[in-house]
Amino acid sequence: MRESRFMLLQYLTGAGILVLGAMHFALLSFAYGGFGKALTFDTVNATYLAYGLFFELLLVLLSFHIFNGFRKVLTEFRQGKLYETAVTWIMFLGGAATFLWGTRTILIFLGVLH
Amino acid sequence: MGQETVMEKENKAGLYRGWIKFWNRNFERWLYAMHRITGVGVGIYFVAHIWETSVAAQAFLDKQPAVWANLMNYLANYAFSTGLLLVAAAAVFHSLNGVRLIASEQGWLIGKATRPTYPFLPSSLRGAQRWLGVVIVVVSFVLLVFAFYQLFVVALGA
Amino acid sequence: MSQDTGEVPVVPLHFDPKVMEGLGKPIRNVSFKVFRYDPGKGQGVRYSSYEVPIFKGTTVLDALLYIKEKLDPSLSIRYSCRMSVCGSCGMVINGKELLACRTQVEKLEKHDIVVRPMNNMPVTRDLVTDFSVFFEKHRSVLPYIVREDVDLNLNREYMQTPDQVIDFLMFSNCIKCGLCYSACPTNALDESFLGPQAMAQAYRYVADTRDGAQGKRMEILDARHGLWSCHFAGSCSDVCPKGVDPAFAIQQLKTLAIRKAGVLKKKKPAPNVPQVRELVPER
Repeated sequence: MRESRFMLLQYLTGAGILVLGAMHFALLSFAYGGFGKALTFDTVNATYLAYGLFFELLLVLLSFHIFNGFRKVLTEFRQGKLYETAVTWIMFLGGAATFLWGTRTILIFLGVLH
Repeated sequence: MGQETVMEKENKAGLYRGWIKFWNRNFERWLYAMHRITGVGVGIYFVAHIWETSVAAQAFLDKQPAVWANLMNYLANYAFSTGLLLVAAAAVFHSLNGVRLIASEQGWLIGKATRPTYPFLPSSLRGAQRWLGVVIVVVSFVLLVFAFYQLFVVALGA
Repeated sequence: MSQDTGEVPVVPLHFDPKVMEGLGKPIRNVSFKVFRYDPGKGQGVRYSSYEVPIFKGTTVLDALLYIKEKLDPSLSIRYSCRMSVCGSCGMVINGKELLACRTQVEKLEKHDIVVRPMNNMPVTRDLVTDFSVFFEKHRSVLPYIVREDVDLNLNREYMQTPDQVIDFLMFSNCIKCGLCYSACPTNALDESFLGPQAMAQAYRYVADTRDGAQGKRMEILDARHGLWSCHFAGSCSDVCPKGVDPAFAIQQLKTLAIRKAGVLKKKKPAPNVPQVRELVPER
């Protein structure tokens, strides 16, 4: 894939994270009586079903954006064909692993996984 | 000619003089350095956050509110709240500066090509993106204060 | 008032003493700490200090030439025009990339001046750097008009409006001084990065309506160590002495790579004008 396609995805995921991340902060701060009360067991138990898809989307966007960002920083720090290939693969695997582990967490909260 | 002219390290500016030492440079260089630092910081936090929520999920799965509450109490301290405050500020700055970068890199906010005349001031550094950068820093600071209120007054205070 | 004798009257000149200050005699001495490196003599990196008397308008280049003439003839520097049109005397002065011939010592407002060679280029000796890789990167972006229908015998200009000229004019001012390449944070670590100068010159030709090789150039630029390793730090435009604004050029190239890729593909090079160019008759 050409580098401009990666960067277009970086832009789009960044814009998506801005919106969803702002919602995440706003919900934590305002929706349930403040930051401390939003994360009690009962509140999370009652509300996670509604937020499942929201968190999954945020997770997808973050997994791509962050690991692609790390890849850019690391390939600018040092060059070499072997090094760059290794960094690209490690970041891809890291992003995939983070996405899968986060999805597992979401599915547990949604009651799909036991 | 090339072989005998190489200085020990090819005279690269390196990590410190290239990426870290931004205080003697233009405003956009400050924003570039902060964008990089906040991006790496939030990225590392994100990985830790995915792990932390999976631990919380375990308590949820086991239907043990006490374990959940213990984890939340363990994390409800000044050190963690300070870290979270920095992460929140970093995330806010990185997102807003990211919007500025998207707009600048797509040709908006950087002025127009002009006939160059002395003193040859660059239009990209005098366009709207510089003012937007200032606004972003101010907004990030305001939201930092708000996050401080949420984390230290509302959460820890209660 | 001239008289019949043809003598020119002597008119006494009165200058404000403030205007004359620093012209006849030095304002003060400034300490210069200059980077020294001589691989030919096996000398490693060191700094040599010199005290240089500064007059009003003394440039860093004047000071270095004073050092060379009166204090230490072994100092190596590169310079030519002395009026910031050739780009030879680029160096890092007190941490900032500047042309030595254009930088007045008084304007730096410091008692100690540290002079280093430009970053990101191998040092040949003292303040002289090797531009080979820099020029190679410049050549790699095809910095000339490329079109398939060139007929050298045609003698008809290409059609181009004044507004179309303005689109690329400021980028054609580049004097290849290397200051932007030295200031760029990506160049500080990334050896493969094309650099702001090469990419600004690529844009100069991409934006030129007479050119037909936009596609070829975009393939070279739209690469991992091309356009997308620039993150708009803007230091290149900040240090450019000729207002080329390489940062502007690079962001325009990014726009062409993403939003205007279709427009670029359809672009045809400017046609010839109908009239044959009039040649001035030889005398």
